[in-house]
Order: sequence, then structure tokens, then C-alpha cells
Amino acid sequence: MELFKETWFYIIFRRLIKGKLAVIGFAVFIGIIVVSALAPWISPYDPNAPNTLVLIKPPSAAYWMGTDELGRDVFSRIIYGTRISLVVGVIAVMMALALGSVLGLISGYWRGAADHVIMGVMDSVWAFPTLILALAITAALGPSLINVTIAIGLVFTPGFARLVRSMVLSVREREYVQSARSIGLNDWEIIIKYVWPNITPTMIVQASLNAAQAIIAEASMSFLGLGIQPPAASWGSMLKAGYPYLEMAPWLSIFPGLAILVTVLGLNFLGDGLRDAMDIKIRID
Amino acid sequence: MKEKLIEVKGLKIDFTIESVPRRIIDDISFELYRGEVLGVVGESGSGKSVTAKSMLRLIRNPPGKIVGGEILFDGTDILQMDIDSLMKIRGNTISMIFQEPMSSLNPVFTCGDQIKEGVRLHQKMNSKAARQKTIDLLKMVGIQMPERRVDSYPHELSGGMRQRIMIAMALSCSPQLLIADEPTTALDPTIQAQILDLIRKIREEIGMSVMYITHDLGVVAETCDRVMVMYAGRIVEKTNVTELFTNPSHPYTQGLLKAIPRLNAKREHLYVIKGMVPHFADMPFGCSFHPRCPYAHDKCVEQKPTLREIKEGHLAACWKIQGKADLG
Amino acid sequence: MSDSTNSTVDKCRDVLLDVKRLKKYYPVRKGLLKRTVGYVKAVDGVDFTISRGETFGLVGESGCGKTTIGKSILRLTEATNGQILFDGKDILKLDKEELRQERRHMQIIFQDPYGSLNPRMTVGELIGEPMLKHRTAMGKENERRVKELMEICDLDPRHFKRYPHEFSGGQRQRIGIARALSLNPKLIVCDEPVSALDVSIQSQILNLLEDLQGQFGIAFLFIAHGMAVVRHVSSRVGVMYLGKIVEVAKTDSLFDDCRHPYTKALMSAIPIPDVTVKRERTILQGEVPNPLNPPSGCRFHPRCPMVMDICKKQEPELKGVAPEHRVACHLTSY
Repeated sequence: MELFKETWFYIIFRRLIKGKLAVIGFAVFIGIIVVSALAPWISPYDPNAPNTLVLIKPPSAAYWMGTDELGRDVFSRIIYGTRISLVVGVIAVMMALALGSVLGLISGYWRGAADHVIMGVMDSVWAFPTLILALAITAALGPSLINVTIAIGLVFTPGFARLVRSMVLSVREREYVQSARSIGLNDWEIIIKYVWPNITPTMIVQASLNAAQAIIAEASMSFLGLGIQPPAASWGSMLKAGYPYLEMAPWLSIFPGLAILVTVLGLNFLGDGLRDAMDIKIRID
Repeated sequence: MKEKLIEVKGLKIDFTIESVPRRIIDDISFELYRGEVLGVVGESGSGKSVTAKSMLRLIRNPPGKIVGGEILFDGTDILQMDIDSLMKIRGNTISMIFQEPMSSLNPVFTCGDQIKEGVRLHQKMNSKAARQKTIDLLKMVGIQMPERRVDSYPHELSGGMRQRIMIAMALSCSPQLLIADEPTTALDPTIQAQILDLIRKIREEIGMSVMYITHDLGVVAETCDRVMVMYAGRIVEKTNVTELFTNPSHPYTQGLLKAIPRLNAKREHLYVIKGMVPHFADMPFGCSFHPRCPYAHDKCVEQKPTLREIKEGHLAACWKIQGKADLG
Repeated sequence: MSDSTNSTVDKCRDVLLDVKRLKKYYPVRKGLLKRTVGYVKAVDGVDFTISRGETFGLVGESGCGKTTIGKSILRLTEATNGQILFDGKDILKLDKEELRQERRHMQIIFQDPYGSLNPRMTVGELIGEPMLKHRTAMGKENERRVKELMEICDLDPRHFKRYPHEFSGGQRQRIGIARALSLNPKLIVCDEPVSALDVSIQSQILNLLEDLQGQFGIAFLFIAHGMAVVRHVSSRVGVMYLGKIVEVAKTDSLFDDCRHPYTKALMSAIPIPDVTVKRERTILQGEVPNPLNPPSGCRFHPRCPMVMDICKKQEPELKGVAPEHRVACHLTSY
């Protein structure tokens, strides 16, 4: 049997697209990226331009998702909303991942006093309910896209730190890591070539699941008024603005809600699919 | 007069990988007589474990599927039974023990509970009677202080003791047949000897038949009455144990016996069976062993040999032995 | 006493590795303040030597400490006490840099072919890495050496860009061997290298190790629990029980004339693939005791079929009973 060379990414990708849900998730993920990149070209109207002539109009041929209380096109706002969700989902999570990984790595690899201190701090942060903590941070820093991103990033850091720490603890006992030590590799070389590449699969899964949570967090915070401030088109702030009009103009709430639902579900499917794809890979070995 | 307990006829099992079904058990037939120990020998990929599991229809579908043949137990075909009848047999008339005692025992239940479960299911005892029976079973399998051990959890016990618990579970309903799938492979040599000794004693006591799956020819020599050697999903040799060791006929069996390091032999280069066990997705044409066989001939590449009697009570699937005239 | 026997023998052989009074204790900590309440004495005073180019087999069951010894020699585990003289240098006293230098000369092969290779590196990278790290072969030379090593170990050199999961268990073990071989070590610790392999593959690997020893003069510390395998590869064998060596001798001397009751039991426990041989089987009762609380006196006494009063009180020393054959048992005094 002639086995041809396959890189890890290719193998995982092939496994991933076998699951129907995973394909949907992946499509949603790619979709969000494409939409936010092409937003200026595909949105029919300026998302922030008010138009007093078309206040709170239901969906029609001209305005596919209707207009809001300032006459802005809901559809365009949804499209631009993907950018905010992307920023929050991606950047906040990346921040949490970066910070959490470093802390988890130090904790898990060198153990000792550093481990106790880091985990103590992480556990204290972890003990706070996610949303309350994020709100507290934003309240302190002032509500804005950047601060919301930072707040969410900080709040998700302990989760990553714990995860990375436990993965590092398990990998460093594996025989292939011992083999690396036996040929004289130093700690950094071992971390970079042996430990890190073997924990990234789990981290990727965790990141995609966290991205979904981050988007919900941002939406909640904006809904409560402590997140992205108007006139920015965040789905959460759209929900807040649409809330008073729930009975007479339900489309102001339905469409942002649907956008959040689809994105979060999609990311969850993607995360689950990734986890299965990577798990099977490891099991066959 | 030997009575047949199990008769397997033409068993065929497929495994579906990436939507393509592959034949992993290819038309095997054998008998197991009452009171005997039948050894099933093979290496990884031979199909011995799958064969054992199929006796109780434990093959998970998907990806595995029994696509043909019969497994007659006392005259009734297990493969055609309804679920209720099958459940009455499992753990009751036919029991099974596995290789890894830690993963076969449920870590959140005490050992006593796990044994009691089978007892109460099949024998309809009340809690007190079941507990007493469990303690008796633990004593029978050689566990010290059974009254205390009955309340222990699996992780509190050593590997050897866990294996004894498994045996106790398997014996709880005095089965007619015990299927043992490599029960001692994961154990230390001295513990292995204890467990083999235990199985032997119990066999003598309750007259149970045993189907012993292993890759260790030493264990086969010491415990089995009859043996069948499997390779790549087929039976390549089947005979009684003395005949197998004094007169191994299939080149694979011969190769195996030559390749193992002996405790009582001197140092010298070991015999090597060149090549590897074929992947079931990539079976060679004709005889599956031919790429590794020192005697391979044209016929071996073209046609699969069938299991045929070469001597009384001794069967082998090999063109070289069967039709000497063919290869002439 | 054992020291003097050792040094006389040393003069006749070219000793590469000299392990003296090796101990590895794991502290057991309890309570909030993590106070040390006891020690698991995994290795409790072990002495043995290995000469250049010879294979020393170390047998014992799980928990006897043989794997710990292997790892201590390479300092993958830090020994608690003792001396490990490798080519005259005490391994335990080397600093980081010196240790890195010394690591070139001793390597290890692991038991699990599925866990001992980094799944994210190609075979070529795995085999070539030690040479890159120690700068013995770089760039094109590295690639050439890797392919050469693959051929020596019966691997197809064209596969060097493949990943470990694309190989079978036996082939992975060969990759591990090629990697260990790449720095031309003087000693390779083999930690149960064939236990996880099929019988027909075992013989391939064992033959390979023998060939390598013949070609390159490598010494092996062969750790195993399978006595037949150990007999086949070793020139001298040590038997361990609960952290101590109970018997050590030349292979034939040990197998044909073993003296320690544990060794006898261990050998009789191995099923022999031969129907014509009728054997006296000693089935040992009981389990290996808890290393946290080893029995008093001779550690084997609770399970020993020949136990005497003195065994419960006094721990026996390793004493010579025949040329190059030492046993730790009170029976030998009678």
C-alpha cells in the first residue's frame, strides 16, 4: 500500500468535512469572514446613515430586513455586525489563548512555586461569573469595542491556562518527550518542537468553542448597555435598540438574534467537528 | 464420546472502513467440544479477537458486520437468536473475560456490585443471598479476605486481583463456556502463572469448556487441548496441541515456532518470518501468507487454499502440504 | 564485600558503566502542608556493571525498579543517591552542559512504539535531530546519514518524509533504534523494546539489535520481564525484586543454575512452547508487596517457599556463590 505524504492540516480537514454539522460550521465560519471582508461591497446601504423617511419599516424589496428606529437598513447593519463579532470572537479569544497558553505552559512544564501562584490567580478569576467580571472590567475601562475585547479576553484566559496546563502535564510525561530529553534537547527546544505542536489540536477546539461564547458575551454586554455603544452596528446593541419595539417591529430583534444564533451554532459545530476530527486521528495511532 | 458445544460454520465478518466493506473474517469453521480447552492463536490482525467476540455477537455494527455463516450453540444458531434469548446466554451460559482488567471493570462500582449484577440478573437472588454468593466466588478465585474485598473499588486492587474479579464475574453463573481473550497478556509472569493455574483448577471443578485466545504459544502448550492458528482472518491450521508442536504443518505455524526465543535454548540468531501481517484493506491474492512464505509457488498466488485434513484430526490450509502432486 | 569482588572482575573486563549503591526514593506527601510521611523505595541500593560491547539483561516484574534504573542512568529521573560511573565520569555529578555532552554516548529505546515518537515530526527529522543538536552532521550530510541509518535498520530510505503514524509498530521501533544509533552511542538502554510487538516482529528487532552490537560494539542494558527474550540477548543477567538485585550472573549460569527462590519462581512461571517438556512448576502465592512498606528482613520472605527465621529479620547481601554469580539469599550460607 503506497501511502502518500499528508500534512496534518490536510488530514484533519478531510476528516472534518465528513461530518454534516461540521461542514455547516465550517461554512458559517468562512461565511462570516467573507461577509465581513466584503462588507463595504455587499451591503446595499450605509449601515450608519439615518433616513427619517423610512423609520421602522418592515422587510420589503428595498430593505430586505426592514429598517430600524433611525431609518438605517437592518440588513446592512447585520452585515457590518459580522466585523464586530469577528473582532470580538477572534481577537478576544486569541488574546485569551496567548496569555493563557503562556501561563499554562509555565505552570505545567516547570511546576513548583510558579505553578501554585499562577493557578491560584487563575482560580480566583475563574471563580467569578464570566459576564459579571467582563462587565466590571468594561465599567472600569469604559465601554468601547477595544475594552470589551480586552475584558472578554481576560475573562477567558483562566480557561485556556487550565487547559494548556493539563495538556502540558500529560504530554511532558510521554515517552517521546523523554526521548527528546535523552538526546540532550533543552527545555525550550522541547517545548517548541515536542510539547506545543501536540497540544495545539486541543487548543484549536477550545478556541473555536470559546469564540462562540465570546460572541454571546459581547452581545449580552451590548444588550445591557455596557458593551459596544451606538451607533456601532453590533448585533448585541441592535438587540438592545430593538427591545422596546419588540411587539410592533419584531424584525428589529429577530434578525440580530438569528445572526447570533447562526454564528454561535456554526462555531459550536465547527468546534465539535474539529474535536472529533483530531480525536480520531489520535486514536488510530 | 465427545459432544459438540459450539459449532461454527462458514463465519464471515466484514468491517466497513471509509464506506468500503472489507472481509476481516473469511469463511472460518471450527468446533469446540464440551470440556475441552480450544486455543485460538494468532498475532495482531489475525482476527482472533473478532472471532471470540462474534461468539456472543459483541461485534459493533457499524463498522463490523457478520455477513454469513452460523454459530451453533447446543444446536441453536446464536446469529439468528432474538435479543432476549441472546441476553439469557450472555454472562450466563457463555461468559467472556478480556485482556485489560482495568478497562473492563467499571471504576465507579465496587467489585461486589459488579459481580452481584450478573448473579441477580440470571439467578434471581435477593440482595443478601447474592452478596454471600459473591463472597464465595471471590474465595473461589483466590482473593484474600473476600468479605472486605467485596466492597473495594477496582482502582484499589492490583492487576492480578482485578483479573480474578473478572473471572469471578464470568463464573458467577457457572457457564458452560468461558471465552478468554488474552486474559494474561497484560500481567506479570508470576501473576500470569497464578491466573492460568486458577483457570485450570476451576475447569476441573465445574467442567467448563474454555476458548482461549492468545498469541503466546507457551500458554497454548500448557493449557490447551486443541488449537487453531489464525492468519489474516482465516484458519490456517487446526489440530490437537501435541500434534501442533511436534508436527507443525503450515509454514506460518512453523515460522512462529522457530521465531520465538526459547527459555531452554542457546543464543543464536532468531528465525525471522520476513515481511509483515497484511492490512485487511490490502490482502494479497491467493493465499494471504504467500508473500512471506518460503515455499510459495505459482498456485499459492492464484488460489486461496482451503482448510483440509492432511492427517487424522489435523487440518491445514496450504497447497504445499495438500496437493504435493500439484506442485510436483 | 561486593566491592572487592567487583574490582577483581573489573580488571579483567573493560567496564563502561559502573552503578554503585543506586537509590531512588519517591517521597509520599500528605496533608495540607504536604509533609513527607514516607518514601516509595523504587530502587534501594543497586550495584552492577556493564562492559563495553556487552548486553546486560535486567529482569523483574512491575514495580521492581528496573525501568527506574534505566531512566536514572540517563538522568531522565534524578537518582536520590549513589554513583553512576560512565566511562569513569560520575553521571550524577555532571552539570547541565557536561551532561549534554555525555548524552551523546548513551541513548534509550522505549517500549511503546506508539508513544515514543513525536507524532508531529517526520521520520527524517526524528532520526536526524540528535545529529543536528550535537552538530555531528548538518545539512546534506545529515540527510545522507539519516538515509544510511534507515537502511541499517531495515527501513526504506525513501520514506524519510513520512510521519510515524504511517508505519507499523515494528517499523516504529526501528525508527526509534535508528534515532538512538545516530550519535554512535556507547550504551543503549533498551526499556522493554519488544514487549509490545508481535512475535514474528520481535525476532526481527532482536536480530537487528544483535547485528548492531556486532557492527558497532554498542553495550546494551536490556530491561525486560520476559525471561526467554532476556536469555537470548544477554551475556549477563540481573534479577530484581522490589528495588533490589537478588541475583546476578552470566546468562548460562543464571538460567541453568539459578539459586534465588524468586528467580526459580520467575522462570517456572514462563510457559514453554513445548509439549514434551514436563516441568516442576512453582506457583508463587500472593502479590508483590507495597514498596512504601517493604517487608522486614529479606523483602521476598512473605512469598518465599523456603523461608527461614533469619529471613524475616536480616536482609541478605549479594554474595558470590560461583564464578561471576552472586545471590542475595540466606540459603546460600547453608
